Amino acid sequence: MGASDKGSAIEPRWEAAKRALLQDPLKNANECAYLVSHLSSLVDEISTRTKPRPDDDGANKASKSSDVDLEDEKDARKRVVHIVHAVQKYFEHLQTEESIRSSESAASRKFREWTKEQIKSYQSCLRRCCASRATPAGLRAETIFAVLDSIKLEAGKRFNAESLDFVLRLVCCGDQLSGLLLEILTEEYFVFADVAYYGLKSLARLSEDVKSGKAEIPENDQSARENAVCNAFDLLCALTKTVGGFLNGGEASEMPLAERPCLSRRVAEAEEAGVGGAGANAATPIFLQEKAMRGRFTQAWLSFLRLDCLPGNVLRKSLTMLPDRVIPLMTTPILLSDILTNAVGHKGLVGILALHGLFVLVVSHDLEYPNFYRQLYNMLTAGTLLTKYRARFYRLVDTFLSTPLIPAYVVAAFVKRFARLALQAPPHGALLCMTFIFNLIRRHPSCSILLEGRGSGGTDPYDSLEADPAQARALDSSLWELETLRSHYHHEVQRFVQVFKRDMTRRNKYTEIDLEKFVERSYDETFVQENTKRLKLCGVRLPQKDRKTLF
Amino acid sequence: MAKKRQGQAKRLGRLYGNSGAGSSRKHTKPSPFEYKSATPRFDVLGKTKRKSGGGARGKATTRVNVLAKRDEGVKRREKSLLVEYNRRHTANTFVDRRFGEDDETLNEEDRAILRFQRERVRQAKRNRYALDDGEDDEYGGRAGGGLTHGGRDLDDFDDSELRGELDSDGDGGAGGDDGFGFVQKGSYKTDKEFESMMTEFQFGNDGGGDGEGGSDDEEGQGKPRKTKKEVMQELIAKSKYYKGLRAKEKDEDETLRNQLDDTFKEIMRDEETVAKMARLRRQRKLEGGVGHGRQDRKTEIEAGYDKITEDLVFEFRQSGAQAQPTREEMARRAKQRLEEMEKERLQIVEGKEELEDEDPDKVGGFRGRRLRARAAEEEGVTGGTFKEKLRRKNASLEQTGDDLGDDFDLSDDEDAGGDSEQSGSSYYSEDSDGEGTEESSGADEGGELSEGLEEEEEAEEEGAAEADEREKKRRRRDLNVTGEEAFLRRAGIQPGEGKQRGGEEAEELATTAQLDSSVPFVIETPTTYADFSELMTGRDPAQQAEILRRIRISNPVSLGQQNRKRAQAFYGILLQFFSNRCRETPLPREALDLIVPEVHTLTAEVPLYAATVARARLDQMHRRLLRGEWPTKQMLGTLELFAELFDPLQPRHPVLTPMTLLISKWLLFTPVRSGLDLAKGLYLVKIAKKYTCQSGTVVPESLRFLTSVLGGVRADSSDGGVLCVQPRAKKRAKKRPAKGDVSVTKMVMECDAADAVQAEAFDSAEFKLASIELAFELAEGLLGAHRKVPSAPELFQPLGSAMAAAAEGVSTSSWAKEAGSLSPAAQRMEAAILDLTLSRRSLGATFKEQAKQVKQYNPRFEEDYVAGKDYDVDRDRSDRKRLRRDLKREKRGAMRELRKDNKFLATVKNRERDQTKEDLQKKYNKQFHFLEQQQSDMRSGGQKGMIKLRRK
Repeated sequence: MGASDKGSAIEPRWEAAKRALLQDPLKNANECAYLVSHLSSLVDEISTRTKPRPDDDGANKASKSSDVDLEDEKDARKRVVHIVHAVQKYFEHLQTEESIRSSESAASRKFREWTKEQIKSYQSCLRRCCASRATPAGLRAETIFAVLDSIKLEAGKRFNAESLDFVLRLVCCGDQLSGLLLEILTEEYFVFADVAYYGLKSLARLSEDVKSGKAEIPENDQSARENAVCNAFDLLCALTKTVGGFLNGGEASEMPLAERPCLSRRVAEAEEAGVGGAGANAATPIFLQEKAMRGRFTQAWLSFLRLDCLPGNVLRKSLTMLPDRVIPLMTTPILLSDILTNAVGHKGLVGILALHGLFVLVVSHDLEYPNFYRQLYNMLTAGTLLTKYRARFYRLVDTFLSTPLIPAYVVAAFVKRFARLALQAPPHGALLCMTFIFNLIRRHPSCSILLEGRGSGGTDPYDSLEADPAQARALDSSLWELETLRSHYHHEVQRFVQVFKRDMTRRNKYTEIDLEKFVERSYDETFVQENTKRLKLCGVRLPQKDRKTLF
Repeated sequence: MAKKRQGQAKRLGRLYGNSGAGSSRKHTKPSPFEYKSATPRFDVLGKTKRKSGGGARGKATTRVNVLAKRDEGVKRREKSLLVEYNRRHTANTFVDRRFGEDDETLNEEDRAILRFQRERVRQAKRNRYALDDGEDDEYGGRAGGGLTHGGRDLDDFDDSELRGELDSDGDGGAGGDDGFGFVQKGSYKTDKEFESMMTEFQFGNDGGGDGEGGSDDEEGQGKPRKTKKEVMQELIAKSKYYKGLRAKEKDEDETLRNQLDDTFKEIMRDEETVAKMARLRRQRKLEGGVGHGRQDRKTEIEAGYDKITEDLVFEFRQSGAQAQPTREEMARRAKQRLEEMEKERLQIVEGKEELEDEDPDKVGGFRGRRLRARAAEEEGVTGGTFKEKLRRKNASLEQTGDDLGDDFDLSDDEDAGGDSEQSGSSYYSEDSDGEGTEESSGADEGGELSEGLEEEEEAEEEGAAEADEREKKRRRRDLNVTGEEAFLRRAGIQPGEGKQRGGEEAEELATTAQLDSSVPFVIETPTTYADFSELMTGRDPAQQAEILRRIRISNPVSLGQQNRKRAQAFYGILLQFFSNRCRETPLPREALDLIVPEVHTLTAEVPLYAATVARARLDQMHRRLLRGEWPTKQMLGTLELFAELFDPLQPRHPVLTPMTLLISKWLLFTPVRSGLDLAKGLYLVKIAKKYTCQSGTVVPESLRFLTSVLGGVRADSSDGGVLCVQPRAKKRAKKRPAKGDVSVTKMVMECDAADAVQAEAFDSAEFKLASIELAFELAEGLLGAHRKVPSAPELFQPLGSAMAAAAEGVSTSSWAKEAGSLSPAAQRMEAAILDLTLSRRSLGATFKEQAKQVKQYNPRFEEDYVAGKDYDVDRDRSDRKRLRRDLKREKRGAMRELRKDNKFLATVKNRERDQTKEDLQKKYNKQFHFLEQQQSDMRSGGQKGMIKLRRK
């Protein structure tokens, strides 16, 4: 395009260099230096697009019109991509070239050093490119991948965590983390064990930095912070997924961690050497050791969860992940307990999810948490029946209450609490509450005393404001609420009350009612169901003689 | 085998055979089985005792001579079965009834002697009364010679003459004794006298003769018996006669009764008499209560009179009862009425043409002549008579048409319609009867009107005017006025007239009177909304309601599927119309109130379709709800209408259940952003409360809404909240309207969303105070409705505290004066809640499973139980059992009989076969004997063995 602008058929200098480099890498090594410097100038140009200079090979035009600008941009991007591609290929080729790697001659050493320098300048150039705000998003993504790819080029035993850290920080704190980018990151880079390992490490450091305010985020920019946390969470999720695959890859197709591919070539070779030589454990790089990986993982999650500014949805999501996907992979899950105990103080779903985490800890990790049912009791409020996530919430509640080891007076308090909720609840909520009451009484037959109507009526001995279910005197009470629900306006509720009209102590005569019938119901569903029910009978009021006016 | 059988048969034959030897031997020497028997000394269990017919206990078991019984059976069979068997090949029988023929003990000679004796006796008998007249004919060849008939000797008559002339009843045989049988010719002075006497007594005379003839041998000869036909004819004639008599009597009775009835009716028409009778009755009752003794002393006549009076009054009351018409009949009748009125209206609107069509022949006077002349000119005088008839019919109907409205209101009882119609028709008949009654029945014709007209008529009339004609004239005169006016007058709708009638009727008339006569009576059901709105625009509410009514009546749903379909389509249109009217500002309350009953009636006619339409509306509302918006004005109106139309007592109503759900969700989830929202919410609570109160159910959402609303009350604060009452500006306080003027519910329905002024009104402190008050009112109402609910305290506790807080807040603010009623209301509420808490009853056995009752059997003991007796209480069942048992026994008996019959017949057949065999053998033996004789004879040399050869 640039050629046509110039009016000559001569191809641009950079293209010739690129062609030459690809044709014969060793002979045309100088072209590499040229390309890198050209790239650097290109990047400079792009990042300071406000004052473009005419390039030496006339790629840029003097014309300032916007469409030409756009053309320019595309052109520049194309060029950058091409150059990056060529240079990357060249460097990779060099690495595979045995003659250069192994020869000890001064020339080759010098060449190697020169190559190293070139690589460094190439990397810095790329970093500059993707860090710059002026770079278009597409180009940035390309360069980010280029940076990651360039990790391969690093020589030396150590993994070049610097680049990875740079990229992750960039991704987290910037605004360009898109679904696609995340997907590519997950599928193409995190599958490498070393990337995952160092990624976890850098994420842990990143979240600590965010917490202490050391991260390069504007201090008072709350939304940027939240954004960063969200990005970090997304990355963490992706990493959790892959790490989960690594660690408990019980399936036959999954290979054990030690045989995972790694990104950096040198490491792989070192491993080969280790196997061939001493064969000691020390030879295994740290990122291939399961314990180390777990430790990194635990650290990353802990430091992430300790962030005090987690937005609600992130917190909810992370808490949801905890019991099934995170806790099993952690080295010391008990460390979560203080985080969870703090979270339990939240209302609504967060509280119950935290409680779920605690539940898992209590059940399988020997945590002592005496206030568990008290917390649960206080979480049951009328508002929970109206929220969107009530299905999840009440399924969890059902899980917690399914144990028969709770004392009867506590269960009775729960029963009374549910009954009170049912009074205030919408029809589906009332049905749900009654299901709970029914199941609880079935699990704890001594609570059927609530249905027997002892005492002389009057004031209800049950104290609904008491926070401790054990102190609420629920066993002295009766379930007047159920009788009230018999005159509920919705016929299903009316009919459901009949369920209680049986001898509740004979447990073999009936089964529990499945919660799933009511847990997903909503007003709209009930309405649509009622409004589309087959028409059978439609009662019309008899006309009144002394009818008052309508309005 | 055969031999054995033969032997057996022989034995049997000996036993059963009727050969004299066998039986005689048996009789002479009875078998030991006959006289020897063992009497059982003890009753043996399981062995049935044979009871003799109710004899003493000692005779309970009697010996039954089995052999004798068997013998009896055999004999019976010999008499019946055997005879039949012997006759089995004969087609007929010959019965010999000659004297002594079947008596085997007589021989021929004795028989002959006996026969002769009998003959002689018979001849002697015949002549017992025959008088000896010298002739020695013993057999009385001229037996009736001395007898005469009609003065002639009987001998002179020949047979046919006798039969033709005389008719006597058959039993004349006895007549011989009554003394007329032997009247002789010479015993009377003159022949004539005798003759007359004989004519008089000819029956008797003839009877004598006949009696003689009866005992005679030749019976068929001079016997003048009546034939069957004659007898029958006579019978018929007689019965006819009596029937006639009876009928006549009945007729007389009836005319008498009719007369009585007429007079009675006349009496009863007089109100005074009725009143008097009623008074009398009351008095009598009083007397009966006070002095019973005195009444006893009343004469019987008086008592009878009273009784009759009472009966008569009772009868009077019952008269005029009519069978209740069915729905279809009512609908049809109403429709017909409307159609006829419509016809008439059309005729009247085209008044002049109608006039020309009138038949001039029936109009007298100059007017008639003029008409006739015009008719001759135009030659357009066809069909007049028919129309005139029709019109007269209409006229009769129009008088009854007044009560059309209340006739078909669902609320009205149908008797009224029937009664009034009947009275109408009776008026009509009186009208056509004559003039006198016409004037007296001014109630329906309008006195002043008819009088005025009559004067005019008199002036115009020439010659004798028939009453009929005058009547017609009056009608024609009506037509002279312009069409509409005349119609109104015809329908009896005159402003002044209404006062004369009963209150209800007057009301009805008033509404009808407002109707423009341009409204047709028969209106086709509109099929599009455009048609309908065209019909309705520009009418006042009463007219609109009337139009709806007419549409409904002229297309009754109960008549025909087509009408039902149309009514369904129309229902949708009507609902649309209603909700459109609801949208108008200001709200046409009056119009809507008048439309509602019609909608109600139509809903009752097509309930399922109404439900479908209502559901569609609810769906529409639901969509709005999902957008998070409060309902619009017309939605509120429609909801209110649904709550009015449908039955709240059906627990699972296709419309009300989803409607309540909708309202609940609105109340629970939709945020209150402005005063208008608040007002709408409160309106929804009002609707919910109405439903709640009527169905006795709880809608917790409405309580929650009230609680949340009242929780937001902040007095004297200037936050932006909905119920934050601004601090009062002292200066402007006086200018504001009085508090009572603000009605939240009315404001909702009157509001116009686009109106900025109204938006301000919803933001005013007055409005806010009024809505707080309304919320309080609703809360109290709800508490009142839910008193019986056991958890009412828990339900209302938050609301009560919110109310208390709100009342407290407002009362300390600068608006305390305006909101004076709030604090007492809150206190009342709290007191009521406390009261409910204390008065709550124990749950009791509400959730106790009801134990299934075990079936219990009480033992019952029979005092004197008899083993074989059937103690079944079910009479029918025991009867059936007995019959079945009888049937079985009969069957067994019949089988046994048949078996015995077979056995008997087999015996007989065996015996016969043996007999033939024996005979054959005998013959054979005989022949053989002969042959042997011959042989021996031959051997002995022809001496028949007489010669004894001496061979020795």
